[in-house]
Amino acid sequence: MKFTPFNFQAPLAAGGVTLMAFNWLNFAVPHGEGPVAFVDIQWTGLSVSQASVYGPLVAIMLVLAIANLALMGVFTRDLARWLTGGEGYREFMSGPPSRVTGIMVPIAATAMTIAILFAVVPFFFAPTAERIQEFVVPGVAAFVGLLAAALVLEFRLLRGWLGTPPDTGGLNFVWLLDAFAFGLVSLAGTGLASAAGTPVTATVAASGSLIALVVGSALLAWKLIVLTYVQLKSRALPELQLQPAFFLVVPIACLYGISYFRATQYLHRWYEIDLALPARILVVSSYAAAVGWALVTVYLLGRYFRSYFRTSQYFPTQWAMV
Amino acid sequence: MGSQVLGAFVFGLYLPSPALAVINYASVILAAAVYVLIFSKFYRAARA
Repeated sequence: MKFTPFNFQAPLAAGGVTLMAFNWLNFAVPHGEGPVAFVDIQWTGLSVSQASVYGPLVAIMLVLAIANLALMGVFTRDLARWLTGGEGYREFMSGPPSRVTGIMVPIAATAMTIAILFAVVPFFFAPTAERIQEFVVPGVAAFVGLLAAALVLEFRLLRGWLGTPPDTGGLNFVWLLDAFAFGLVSLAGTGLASAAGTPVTATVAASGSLIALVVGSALLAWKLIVLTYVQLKSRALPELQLQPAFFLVVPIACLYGISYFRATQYLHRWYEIDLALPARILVVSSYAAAVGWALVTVYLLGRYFRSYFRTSQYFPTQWAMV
Repeated sequence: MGSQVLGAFVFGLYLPSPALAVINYASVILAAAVYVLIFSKFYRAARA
């Protein structure tokens, strides 16, 4: 199989499942200030049922965090070869708009890895959690670099689409991958802003996150309007291979919901602006939208799941289901 | 399954319902299973 930037969906999905397990433990396990850590789980005092609940989640976190880091290493090496070769990149970028948007997947995967490094590594290694402030400044530097790369690539994509307006009939939900990438970049940024111990680093991370949120939200609104129009006009679902891309709206709703929520926390912490009620409405409505969209998509993709997915060959859109 | 991340926030901050905890937990396990399934397809395609 030839290398494409879509390969980065493998570490991206591994990171997503890792964060799912971490978030569950963070809210379910009693612990002191800061995020939950492995040592907060009193393993010797757990009942069999508690151990059978926590154990699989810790195992999933460990295995998939390692998978995220290992696959990022492998594909980053492949990406460097692909970019220096030149030919593959030119061929990829001359494709249809939905496919070209896949150039943003490595950005999304790198943002996910930053989130993993600041959540899962301190979970397993307590000394890292105690020294987290030492890693915030390098983390913010990496985040700023990632945001700059995302903006440059997005401007390049927009320039191409404005120069030659895409055939709307060929668009599908894979086209949302850039809005997804900006959502992950803002998630990494707002995470750093809430972890930062000084106003300067917190403000840099929050300001960068705000840029990512504004650009990503505008892209999301524009593209959802276009895609809804295209879908209603076509009166039929896209070909089977592309159908799982409908699920992309679910993680996007979550990423923007959490990022905006963390932005309200930043404003409360550093400027004492109380946005508790808007934050609550935002989180609950984003969750309702994500669950609603997921249920509608499962219903729409009934035939895909019943008679296609189990025996199908790999296709990049399948990662959207994770 | 991606909605679980936000579901965990809703559970932890606003609605500590056991039903939501179970749904969120099941989502993690299901997501891990789907990950293994898709990764095995990806791995086979990469080796082909």
